[in-house]
Amino acid sequence: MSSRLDSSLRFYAPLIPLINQGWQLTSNAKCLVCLRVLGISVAGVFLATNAFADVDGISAGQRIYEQHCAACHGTRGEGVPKKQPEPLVGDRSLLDLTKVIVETMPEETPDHIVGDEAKAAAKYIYETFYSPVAQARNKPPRVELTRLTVRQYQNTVTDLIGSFTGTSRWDERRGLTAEYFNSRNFRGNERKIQRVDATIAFDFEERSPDKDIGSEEFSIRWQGSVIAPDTGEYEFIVQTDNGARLWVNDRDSKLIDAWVRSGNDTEYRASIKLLGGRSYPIRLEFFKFKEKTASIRLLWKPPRRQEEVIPERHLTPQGARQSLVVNTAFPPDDKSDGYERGTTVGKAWNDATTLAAIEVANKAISQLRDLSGVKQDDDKRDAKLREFCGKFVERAFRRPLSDTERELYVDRHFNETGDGTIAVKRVALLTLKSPRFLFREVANVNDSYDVAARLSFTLWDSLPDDQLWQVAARGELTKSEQVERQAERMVRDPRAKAKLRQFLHQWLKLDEFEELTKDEEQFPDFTPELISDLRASIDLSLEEVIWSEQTDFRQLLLSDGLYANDRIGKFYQLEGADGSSLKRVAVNPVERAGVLSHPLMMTGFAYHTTSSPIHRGVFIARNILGRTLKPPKDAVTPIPAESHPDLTTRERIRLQTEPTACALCHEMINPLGFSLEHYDAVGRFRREEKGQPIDASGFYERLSGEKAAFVGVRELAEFLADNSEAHAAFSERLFQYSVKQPVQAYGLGKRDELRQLFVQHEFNINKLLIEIAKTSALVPSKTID
Amino acid sequence: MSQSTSRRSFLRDLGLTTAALPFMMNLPSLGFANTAVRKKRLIVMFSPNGVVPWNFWPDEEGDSFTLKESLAPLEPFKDKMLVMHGVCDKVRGDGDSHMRGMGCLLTGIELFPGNIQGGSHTPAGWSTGISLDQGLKTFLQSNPKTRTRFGSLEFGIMVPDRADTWTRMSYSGPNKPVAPIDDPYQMFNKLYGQLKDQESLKSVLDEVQADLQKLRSIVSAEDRHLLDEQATFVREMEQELKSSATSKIVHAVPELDAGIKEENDNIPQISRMQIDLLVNSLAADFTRIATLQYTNSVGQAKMRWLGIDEGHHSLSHHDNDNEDSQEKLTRINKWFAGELAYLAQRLSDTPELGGTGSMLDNTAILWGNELGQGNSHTLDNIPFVMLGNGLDFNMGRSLKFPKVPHNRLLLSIAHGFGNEVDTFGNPDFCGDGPLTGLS
Repeated sequence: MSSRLDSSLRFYAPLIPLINQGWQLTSNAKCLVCLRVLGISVAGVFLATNAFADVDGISAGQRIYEQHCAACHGTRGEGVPKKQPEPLVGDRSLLDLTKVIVETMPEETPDHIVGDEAKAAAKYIYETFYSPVAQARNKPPRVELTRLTVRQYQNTVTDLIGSFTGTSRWDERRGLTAEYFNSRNFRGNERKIQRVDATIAFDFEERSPDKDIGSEEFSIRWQGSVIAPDTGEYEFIVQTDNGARLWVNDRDSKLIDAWVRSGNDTEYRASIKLLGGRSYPIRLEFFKFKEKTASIRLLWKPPRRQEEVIPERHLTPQGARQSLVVNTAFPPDDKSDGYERGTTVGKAWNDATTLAAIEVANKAISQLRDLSGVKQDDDKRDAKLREFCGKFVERAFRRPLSDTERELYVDRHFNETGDGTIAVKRVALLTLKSPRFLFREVANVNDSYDVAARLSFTLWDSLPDDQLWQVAARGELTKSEQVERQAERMVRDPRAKAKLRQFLHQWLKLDEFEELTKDEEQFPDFTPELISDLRASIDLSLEEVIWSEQTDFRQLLLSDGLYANDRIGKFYQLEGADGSSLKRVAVNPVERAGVLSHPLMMTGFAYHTTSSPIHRGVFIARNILGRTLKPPKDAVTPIPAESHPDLTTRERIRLQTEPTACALCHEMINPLGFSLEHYDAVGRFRREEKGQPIDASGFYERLSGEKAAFVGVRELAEFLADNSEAHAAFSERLFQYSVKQPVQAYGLGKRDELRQLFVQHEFNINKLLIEIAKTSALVPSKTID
Repeated sequence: MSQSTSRRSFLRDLGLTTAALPFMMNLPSLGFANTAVRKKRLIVMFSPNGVVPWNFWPDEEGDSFTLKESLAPLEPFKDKMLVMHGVCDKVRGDGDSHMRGMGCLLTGIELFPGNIQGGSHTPAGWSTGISLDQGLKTFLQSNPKTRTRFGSLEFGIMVPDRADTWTRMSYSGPNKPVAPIDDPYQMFNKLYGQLKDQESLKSVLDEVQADLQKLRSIVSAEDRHLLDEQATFVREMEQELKSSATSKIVHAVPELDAGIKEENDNIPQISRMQIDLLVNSLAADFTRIATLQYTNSVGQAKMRWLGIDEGHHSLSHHDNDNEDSQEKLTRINKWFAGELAYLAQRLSDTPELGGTGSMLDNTAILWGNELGQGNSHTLDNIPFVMLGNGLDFNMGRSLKFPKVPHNRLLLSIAHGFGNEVDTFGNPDFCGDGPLTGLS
């Protein structure tokens, strides 16, 4: 069993004895399990009257609630410690809630509140505190003060320093420029070839690369930039029989210096941290001199991937600026709301911001001449450095400085230290430790500069760029159209693409698939290399949508293409997949649909040896349909497949979740998951299991109560792509991930408004992002007391 | 086989030492691990291109001898020195004499075959073994009583910015050359960067705190708690910084002249800056092992401050009967001896904290070279001079050995530290054990 599934299922452990008793559960036990699911529990007093009329303005529903439910659930559903501590909130429909009360409440005597009484109680509960609308009304979500998230901090620092050196863009060209020399030391007049090489993996053996080049000595230089897909540590690997040296994101110092070939060393490794969605300068130099053979290969091991020759798609002949990447490790952000938020501070975070400030200040000092353009012996060095510091502070604070602020943050340090370099260091430290840098819009001015910062953080997780700054300076970010114009420009920036990619990773839970190892005996060919290819494959599917003009949400679910190479093609029996690099192949649209049935997803939501309809169903219910599912209070261990060798997975799951206790949620979960039963534990399509044909029929009961049925992934995908709950859920998730605030904080109707806009824009994600940016950027000022 | 780059990790050490530590506060405790046991130190000084034998080696043997012109600046330390004639680098194999002279000087073992072609002989790569300084570092660091913050420090003066067999004499293992730091400002950062960071940080935290107070009145009441919590953490940090007062650093942090560029004509200044930093780091007990490498094997320093315009290596090829050149080479080596004398003087002027005598009484300085003589490229009679009483040898003598392998000298030094290994480097040259007659 994979470790991730293992831990989430530990909740179920206490039910093991019950399972062993063959499911002879008492009604009490059933209740104990199920009630937790709804947050409803037993009331001590039984129903005594059947009066339905309002009395003294108090509705019958309220009376029933106060009499029979409040003792455990609290007078306003807030919960009661040691009885039913969880608040009575959720997203079930009124109909559904009524049904739960009829079937299970009160806990010890579920027959006592039925019929009209149950309806009245449910209506009261639903309208007063249970429903999402009631929740928002009772505790209106607000736009909270937040600090920069870790991702925002990293991007902000890189772009702050980058604002002084220029940023890098890349076009569609791929590979690296290559120059081949008929000499061992790159003599210009001996350059024989200039071309673009797709990848660096050459074995010249005893030969030379070209007829104009001798085989005794020659040299080659490759240059361009490397595009990092994700944020993290990248290990670069140079393999050569000869001499080589490699620079990555640092023009001055080599990442790998293997110029001296010595003894049997033929492989050299070094790691460097890179931020995803950006390009970094890279240069590789190679020479051969008198050795018998010549060979050179450039590989990498990106985060969560296996070692591979750097693929062509991650290399571009275009140069790039050097970027400052913060190496200091930060504690992870609070993700309890389902997305990273900067709503808490702590000692670890404060320490990290201090260490990072020191790191950045020292790096800035070491590059001071490049950043400030001021020479050591410049007559006006002091004045010019003050000017540089002023810009540094303004950009970091995302607003211009007043004279008093300039004195405080800049001039004072020059006057006190009398040494430009030390002053710059103090300014940098003070700036990077300042709440004006670390917290969002903390000065609470709500002018165009605040709007600019909201836009850039929403779309890029970073600072406003020069263009945005200039528009803000002219005060031209007060109207919706003005904001829209900027947002339209900004969603095309690679930083917006990188952020969207990261969002999709979270939405699909790709971040959580750590160890995907499976039973070796059953799946001997399911290797780490194949898993690595699958990660790249799903990323390419996502990138295809991210970089397209339509950025169509539905394509994510409905696409009939899959990125595959020979390894994936062989394992999943896909036609047209050959060669080591991944390319899009058409798949049988009945057998595969978009990301839902992507082998990586199906592998991630599966056990060590079998599929897991429950994990698949929970994923669809929560992440795609946006339903609230509380984790079961009492832990259950899944019935081992071995204990029922004759049952199919579908039958086994049905057996396990049969009790009313489980059924309340599993009625929703299982049929969703069952529709993906065509995929085994490694995501291969199967027609039968244990000699029986696969039953991939499923259904979903909409919040409206309407039931939709589907068979297999294609019908499921079509249902989801067209489902308004899924549209609302996607819009809301994207809003929260982008803005780092709950959508209801911008108006109780905003969630539905965004959904409607998403539909109007034909599910164009970029257009939805622009709407999100507009909604969150232009807000009324906060009142201060 | 796999090899990680050392240049990179070295740069990372400079910029990011703070991040590697739990926090910056524990700097002082890393010095002065203990003072109960007598400290022993080793400094290896390197200068290139051999010497002029007749102006270097004393004629006499024993405790009564006269220093020749090249060694004249060491007169004040005559009773604390050993001049060791007859110690030869007998390691052969791949690489030319300059390469082997450098790569085998402290390792005593052959170079790997490789792709670096010298002026003659076969191409070669790095050394196949660990060097004495790094071996002793490992030895001292493995014992809590002798462990120091860095274990070893590698100083350079104008070492060319390329890693090859001619520029590296320290090896932490086979194929693992250690790069010297030849920029005094970089070395200063490595030694005192954290301390300076603390000072800078201290100077701004008050303002951060004041800003937090100002902003708390601007944000809404519901948001105020976040800034208040942050203010508490900033206050705690200020207190931690105060309690880790810099007063615990007993010695003064050296002041470096600002803006000395790394270029040929600044060698005299850079040399003194590096020596000062070296003495300071020994005084602070940041390390007990150090190397001080002038340029590189085949080094081409132009000692214009001595009135010599030719490159050192070019001069060293001139014939014995070229008097002008031999006179210049003598002057060059005399200048190196002068730098050694300055180093010895600084150590001699510094009392041994928690011990007896001066630091020179507890330090052994070994001065060596990749060649015996430049124009012959001989590896016989490597000009080894030892200074200081750190290893309790019987100092104040001119010694003449019968062409013994230099591995035996390396063994003697290891044993002097209590690291009583049977062999060091190629065992074939260690059969007779440490040199006799040193103690």
